[in-house]
Formats: sequence, C-alpha cells, structure tokens
Amino acid sequence: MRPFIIIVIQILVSAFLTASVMPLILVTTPAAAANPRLGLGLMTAVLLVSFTLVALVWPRRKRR
Amino acid sequence: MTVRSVVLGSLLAALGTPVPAAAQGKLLHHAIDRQTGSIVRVFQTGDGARVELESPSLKITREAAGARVTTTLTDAAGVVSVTYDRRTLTVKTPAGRVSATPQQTGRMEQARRLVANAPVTGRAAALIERLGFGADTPVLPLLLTTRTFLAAVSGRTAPRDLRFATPAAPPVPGLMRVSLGQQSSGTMTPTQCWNAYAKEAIEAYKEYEECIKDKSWYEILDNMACGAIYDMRAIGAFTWWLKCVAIN
Repeated sequence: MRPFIIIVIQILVSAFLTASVMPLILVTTPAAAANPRLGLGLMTAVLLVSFTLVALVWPRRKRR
Repeated sequence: MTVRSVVLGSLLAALGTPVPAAAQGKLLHHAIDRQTGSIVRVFQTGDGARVELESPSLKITREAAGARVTTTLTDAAGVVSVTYDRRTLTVKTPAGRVSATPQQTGRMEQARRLVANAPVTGRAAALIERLGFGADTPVLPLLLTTRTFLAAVSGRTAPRDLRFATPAAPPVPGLMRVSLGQQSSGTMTPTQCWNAYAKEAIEAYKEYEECIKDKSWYEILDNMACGAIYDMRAIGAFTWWLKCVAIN
C-alpha cells in the first residue's frame, strides 16, 4: 500500500512542477501555444522528466 | 542526503523557477490567428515597439525605433528590409540595396522596383489580408498599415478592408445555457480548451515578469509573493484545462 501512495504523491508533485513550467514553455515556444499537439507533447515530456527527477530525489529508507 | 540528491534537488528547483525571457523586449501582446495559423506578437523594445507576424513559411516584422520604421520580410528565399526615417528610404533585398531621399526620384523608383520585384512582398501583403482577426483586435490596424505601406512601396493597390467598412452586426437576442464559469467547458472543443489554457498561462507568466521586474534579488519576500501568485495562476489554469478536457 505504501509504495502506491508514494507514487501518487510523486505524480502530484510532478504535475505541480509541470503546471509551473508550462507557462514559460508556452511563452518561449509560440508554436506550442498555437498547436495543441506540440503543446501536449512538450507537456508530456516535462511531466516525464519531472516525474523521473522527483522519483530519483525521493528519500529512501537506508538498507542495513 | 547524498550528492546525487543535492544535484537533482537543485535541478528540480531550477525547473520550477522560470527565468524571464526579456532578451528580445517585453512581450505585450500575443495572439494566434486560426485562419492562417500565424502568430502575432507585440514587443516593447528600448525605444519603441516591434510587431511580429509569423506564419510557417513567412515572417513579417515591423519595428519602430524613434523616427525610424523598419519593415522586414523573411522567407526561405531571403530577407527584404525596408527602412524609412524622416530623410531616407533604404531597401535591402537579395537582389541589391538602394537608399534614396524624397528628392531623388530616380533612386526612389529604383527602390520601389526592388521591393515590387521581390516575391515575398506580395506574399506578405496577401498573408495580412487573409488574417481572421476582427476589427476590434488592437494589432489589426497596425498590420493593415504595414500592408498598405507594402502596397504603396511596391506599386500595388491595397484592397479596401471590409472589416472596417462594414458596421458590426446588431446583437441578436437568444437563449443559451449559462454556468457560473466564463464558458461552460462542456461546450468547448479540446482545441478551444487548449487555446484558453495557453492564453491564461501566457498571461500568468507576463504578470509574473511584470511583478518581479523592479524587484532586487534581496527582496526575497516580494519575489516569493510574485512566485506564489504565479504558481497559483499557473496551477489554476492547469487544473481548469484538465477539467475542460475531462470526460464528463
């Protein structure tokens, strides 16, 4: 049960990061604002990168 | 905490903190024309303003700096620029460069022919003509003056723009469903949802840029407040978009 909750929290944190970064991406990449397909592609990429980073940074229990 | 955690944590922090993209001037207006797929941007520069109209194959830039107005047309074939200040008209095309004053009628005619012979001139004027913006869009008059300018320099006749000639149709009374929000997301297509989200997200970023503009690095609380407001707007827009495209 615990790993499931952690993954959900990690997804929420990644979504938060994605939502914060997307305006900057839309300003610097006007094509993404004009083209939903490109915009969604970039959003997915940002989400995946955020999730990977969050998962890597997430504190783990030390093995003994 | 391991070194890897510190490095990745810093990366995450950098990812979450936007850096203002103020290198090319302050973005004042951003709009997308659905009819032509072009993007219109208006920037405030140091001593004037710049209007950019960008389609997939053509870019029109009109920059006013003091008394000098430069119109640049860029496509795959090259760059045509027409600069006009109080004294001189300068035309640069891949075929040559001519400068002329109003008294030099011969050279003026040569410059005019140089612009008229560039295929990009006609394409630029045609692109502005096809724009679907309404007369109430503030950028449209600027673009129409650019088209008229191109037409005048190249010797073409600019067609009369019906968007300004035709009075707006009177509102027709009718009934429609309304909700507490601005527009019911149930009536919007995914593309409309995306457009609304993109507009709101860009507005949020512009507000953030405006907010931190005059703040020094040591005004930490102010900067944090700007960031918090930005985050609230950005996340609000994101959750609205998720709701808009959700299956109800």
